[in-house]
Amino acid sequence: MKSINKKITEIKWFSFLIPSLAFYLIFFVLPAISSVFFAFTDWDGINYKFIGLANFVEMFHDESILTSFGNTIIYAISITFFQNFFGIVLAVFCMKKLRGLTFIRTVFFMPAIFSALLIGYTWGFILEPNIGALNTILSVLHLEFLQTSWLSDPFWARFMIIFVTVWQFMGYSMVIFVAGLKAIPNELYESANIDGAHGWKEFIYITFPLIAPSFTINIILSTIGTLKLFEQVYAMTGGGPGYMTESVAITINRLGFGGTGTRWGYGASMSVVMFLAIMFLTVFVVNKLRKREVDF
Amino acid sequence: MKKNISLFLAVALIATSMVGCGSKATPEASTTAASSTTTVAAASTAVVPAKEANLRYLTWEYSESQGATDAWIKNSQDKFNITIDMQNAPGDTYNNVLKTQIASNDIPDLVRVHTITNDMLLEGSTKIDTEMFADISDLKAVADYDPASINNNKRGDKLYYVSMVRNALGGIYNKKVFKDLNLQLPTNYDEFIAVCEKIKAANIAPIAGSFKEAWTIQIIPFIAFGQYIESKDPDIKNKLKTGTTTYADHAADVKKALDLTQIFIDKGYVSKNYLGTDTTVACSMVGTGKAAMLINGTWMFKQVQDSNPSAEIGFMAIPFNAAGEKTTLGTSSDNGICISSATKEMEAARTALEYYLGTDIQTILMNDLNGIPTNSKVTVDSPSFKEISKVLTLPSVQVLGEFWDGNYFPGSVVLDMGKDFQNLLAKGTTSDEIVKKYTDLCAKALEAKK
Repeated sequence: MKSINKKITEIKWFSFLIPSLAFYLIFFVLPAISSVFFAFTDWDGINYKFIGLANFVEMFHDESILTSFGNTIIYAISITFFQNFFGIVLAVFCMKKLRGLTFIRTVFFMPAIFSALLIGYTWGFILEPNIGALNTILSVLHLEFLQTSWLSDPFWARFMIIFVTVWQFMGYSMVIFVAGLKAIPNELYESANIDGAHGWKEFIYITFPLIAPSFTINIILSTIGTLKLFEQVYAMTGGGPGYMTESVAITINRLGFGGTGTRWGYGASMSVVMFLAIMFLTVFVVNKLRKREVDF
Repeated sequence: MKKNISLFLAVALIATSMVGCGSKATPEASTTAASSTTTVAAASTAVVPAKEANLRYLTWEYSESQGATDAWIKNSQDKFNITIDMQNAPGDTYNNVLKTQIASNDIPDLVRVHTITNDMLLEGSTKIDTEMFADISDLKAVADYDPASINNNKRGDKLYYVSMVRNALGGIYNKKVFKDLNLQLPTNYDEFIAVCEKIKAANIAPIAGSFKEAWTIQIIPFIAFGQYIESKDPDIKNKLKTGTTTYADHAADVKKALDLTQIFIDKGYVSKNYLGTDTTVACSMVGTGKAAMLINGTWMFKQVQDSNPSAEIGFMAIPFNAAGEKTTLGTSSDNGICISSATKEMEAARTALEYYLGTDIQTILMNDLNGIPTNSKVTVDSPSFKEISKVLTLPSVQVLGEFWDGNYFPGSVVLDMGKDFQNLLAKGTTSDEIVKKYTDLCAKALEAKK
């Protein structure tokens, strides 16, 4: 009797999981699995027929797709590097004993809690070439020669997407680095000081190796995030001019939901390639970074 | 007790989630289903003569045709006891909203469409069954429309919709700029270049570039395609669709059309920051005289005028022709309403559509859209219409019934010409590559059709 009651209780508690499990299953697992199937079809959202590897073959001959893969690699490398570089610089700064530091930390972290779309549109207005704040300020300062089409020149548009993403998320990396820095025992710094290590040497030989776990998590998070970069590009350039600033996520969206987009099967095949790329890259990076982590 | 309450709430939550999935939308539900949609249903105060009916109407263009739509909804209720629940989906996602409703077998009673191709591709991309929409050829109002707006939308004997508005591509220009510089409207390419040079010399941008919006980049190549290719071969559309000819066969002329915008940019005729400027700013540049003309469709006339109501705005055909040749003026008539064959209110749907196609609503619609009516009984008295009509009847102008677009490809080709042309201006591709791409796309589509 007891065991039956126990089972009933367990079923009751399990029932609380059903809503979230159902949502996860319906809105994540099933679409993810079905997208693998649709990657081998010419699905237009209603009809489909099996076309084997045709989508994958076409993908590697399609100039716009290759551009978006190239852009995504540029975004991933640049954003991951600069976000973590500035993140650690800010974290080290925030470990100093200064007045108002909590406020400064909050200011640095704040952009990360806002919607990336909101940030993207706001920067879009700032960088608008005709009536945007940046070109207007440059004009007021008689620096017209520095004015440019920030979001329509492909070079500057890519640069600005990288800049805005780094600006938004460096505070996020900073918080993780601060947590790592706080975990380093003070005794290590004291003994290093006795041995004559100060400043830069202290950072290179103590701080840097001991915050390796923070590096691992930061690099993994920012790499995955930038490989899926969507909102900033969507809000700031829409992938344009032409296809010049498109990321893979933007291209997938264009193929499925753009003005004439109906190639959902083709988009699904890109998603599969992206999924595999992220998975292999993550496994590789985690293995490499784990090796340099130090236990203390 | 707490456990029981929690359990009850959990079950209720699951039940609510499940109810939300897959239920067929009722007219009432459709009005609240999506937060991004707008619903307008008029309250009736008049005497109602007929049996009550509810119709669902899907459109994308409520903001452009608000006057006509509001009048139609209100009067349908008052005159015919027909309640029209409108779902206004955003234009850029309209195709997907429609596709989703078709996929879930939940097609509204009345559906606004841009086009149904000969290959039964709704909005140029979604393959539909020939039985999906009802034949409306026996509606009385249809007889008042010009033959092209009927015949283009017939598949076999079946008329799916009537094109209600005709647009033309050309230059919307600021008359004061031309008057101040003592300029005559150009009638050939050399004169056009000379006019642009004089405007440029006066520190005014001859052409307002709004190429941040990719669709606007299509206009100059579309006009040029009409002049260089279609004027020589009026059947080019069908030949390209059927593979009788290819884009490669016309490579020199297609490239000439594609490269023309860049030539104007290189000559300094296009306003600066053209790839970062949208139509709102470009219209305002023309309205305020900072730029002389906007090369676009007649549907932009109102926006230019509204940017400066005191400005005198005109419309001209853009002459890419040599001296002695006629200037082509690309026009198109699309945009109609279909009746779903599956509607349970067929008579009400026909009554409502008959009323929409009639002169009362069409007159309001033409004023809303600043378009050229295809209904012969509709007269429009707006300054913009007068300007446009004047150009349409010029002896030096050859009016083309269509202009280059996705319909100049075999049915299953899906492409975004605006993005391709924007990519060309951003140096992401070349006109040679675009010609090759379009040739290959056509060949592939025709091969698949076999």
